[in-house]
Amino acid sequence: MTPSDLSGTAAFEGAIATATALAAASLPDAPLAMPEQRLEPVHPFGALRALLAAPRRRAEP
Amino acid sequence: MTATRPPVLLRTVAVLVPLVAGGGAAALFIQYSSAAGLTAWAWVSAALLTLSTAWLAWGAMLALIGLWPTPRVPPSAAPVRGRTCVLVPVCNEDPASTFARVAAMMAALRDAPATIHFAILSDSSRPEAVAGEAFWFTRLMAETGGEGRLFYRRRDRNTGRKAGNIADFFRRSGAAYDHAVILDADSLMEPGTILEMIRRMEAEPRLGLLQTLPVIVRAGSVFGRAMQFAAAFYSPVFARGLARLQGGAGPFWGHNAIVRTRAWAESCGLPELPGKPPFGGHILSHDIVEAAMLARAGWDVRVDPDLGGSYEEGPESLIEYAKRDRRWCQGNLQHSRVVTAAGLLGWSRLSMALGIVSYIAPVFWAGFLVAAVADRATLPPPDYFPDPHQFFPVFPSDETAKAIGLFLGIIGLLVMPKLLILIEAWATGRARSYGSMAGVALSGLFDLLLSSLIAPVMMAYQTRSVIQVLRGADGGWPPNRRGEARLTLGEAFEASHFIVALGLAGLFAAGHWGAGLLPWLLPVLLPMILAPVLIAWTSRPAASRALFATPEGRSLPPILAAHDAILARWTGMSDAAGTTSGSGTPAHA
Repeated sequence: MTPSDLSGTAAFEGAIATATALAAASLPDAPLAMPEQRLEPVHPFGALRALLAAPRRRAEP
Repeated sequence: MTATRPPVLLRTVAVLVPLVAGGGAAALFIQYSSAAGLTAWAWVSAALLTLSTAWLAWGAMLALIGLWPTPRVPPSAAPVRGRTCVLVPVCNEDPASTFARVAAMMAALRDAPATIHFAILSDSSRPEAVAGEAFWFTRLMAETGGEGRLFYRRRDRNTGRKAGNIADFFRRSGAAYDHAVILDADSLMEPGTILEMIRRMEAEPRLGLLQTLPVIVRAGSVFGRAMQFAAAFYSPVFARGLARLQGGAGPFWGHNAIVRTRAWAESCGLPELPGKPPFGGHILSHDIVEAAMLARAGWDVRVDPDLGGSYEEGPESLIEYAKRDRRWCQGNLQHSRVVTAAGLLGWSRLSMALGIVSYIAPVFWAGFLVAAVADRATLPPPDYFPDPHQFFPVFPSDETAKAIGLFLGIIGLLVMPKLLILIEAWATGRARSYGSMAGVALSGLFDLLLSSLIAPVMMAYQTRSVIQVLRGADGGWPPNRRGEARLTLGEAFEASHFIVALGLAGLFAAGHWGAGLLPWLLPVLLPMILAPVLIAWTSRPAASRALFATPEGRSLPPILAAHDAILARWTGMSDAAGTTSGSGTPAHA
């Protein structure tokens, strides 16, 4: 066995150790819903418009 | 769920006083300018001065409100019931140093009476950083025996950047935890602080987010140490002022904070803003928006400045600071698209608006200086004989006293808070932890001088940033170069030649059109002309350890010492503090 074989073995063992550690470290599987929030701008006269529209809607047959 | 009642009276005073100060400054300026005849430029100058002075006065108000100390809340000993995960998002950082921080915190929390896990959330893309993370994570796992409580996850695509990285954790694993401590790659927290944060969250079920005041540590350059001193010495008072005004709509600074998992998941799913960057796309400065969305959903968001043991690192040179500032500028200006979002609390809107103003204020100052010179250039020559039949000349009234009063008032707004904080530190004994009172006063004086020299240079950088963003240029998100500081004069010139050119142009313009203004403009123009020298000099390692001393610099906090010891052992270096650059990847990794 030559020194290069030895270093190759060490590198292989290192890679196996890394892969094992990473595999053992995956995040817990516990999903949580995180709905996307809305950030649409408020319309300054939106509330007033809604107020005015309401009686008209009620009056519709 | 009802949120904390806001301090309406204090908030009203805090908002009104700066507006009155701004109005007063404008009135004085108009009186001064009217002596020689009012031009349109004078009105423009007055408007810009109103906004600039109001901004300065807002800072002074925060200091005044935060001046009197808050009694420290004794740490709780209540049993911890919930499960917590400490999140460490990384993106092409030095893995050895970052993972040594995790090792230090895990070791310090080993016997803690709580379930606390750690998750390294990687968005790294550079092959050497990815390989380094794999190597050092193996070392970290072997050393801590962390199986089942230490996790590593890397995303191939960093959608949504840091906010997306954190959100990905919540969507995958959020249900496993009651709380999450959000850190940065350079964050360190004492175990007692983490436990106290969890206990405060458990004691107040309405609390959605609790922010600590991170202290900057490990600065080595002149610039870094000055910033570290200013942050340690002045920030607690400003943060206290902010805390007294926050009600339930406090700040989130993106890291060194704890969040309630359920509150975060149900309130903080960030949408993409319509349109292209810089105003559309992913929300860059997500933290302020997340704080506002939590408050909108009825959760309390709070900063507790009394929580110590919270650390971060800062930029070591003016260039690194300006680069970070460019990102923050774009992020804050992007908030103009969010500030009007439906349902946000008024204080959240004001916080966002103030964030925007903080980046526009230097543009106001620059605009004021340009308008003042333009005013002089367009001023009609004085008419000493307005009536052709008069015998004696009519001289314009001398309003110099008003100009001096205005100048002193503005300087007072800048200096007064720092002076009052110095007195507070002396009166409360806080100054003793910084060394002698004389040493603190000297550090304060040098900080004032240095910040006065740096301010015009930063004004130029920030003005350029605002113009770039308004022109639609996306600054992107360049990675931080933590720990790399020293710049040559050539490098400094390369990054600041436009500031030198602006300074020389200003000098020529003032000399040609407004010679009377020159003495007032020189304190601004000279630092601009000498910007490369200033940048290169302040990036050098500080010669004195006494100047700009901080309590953490004088006596290394235990968690920092633990980190240094681990990193020294890992990398085989005696001085771990100097190894924060590069990939930290060993040759064989």
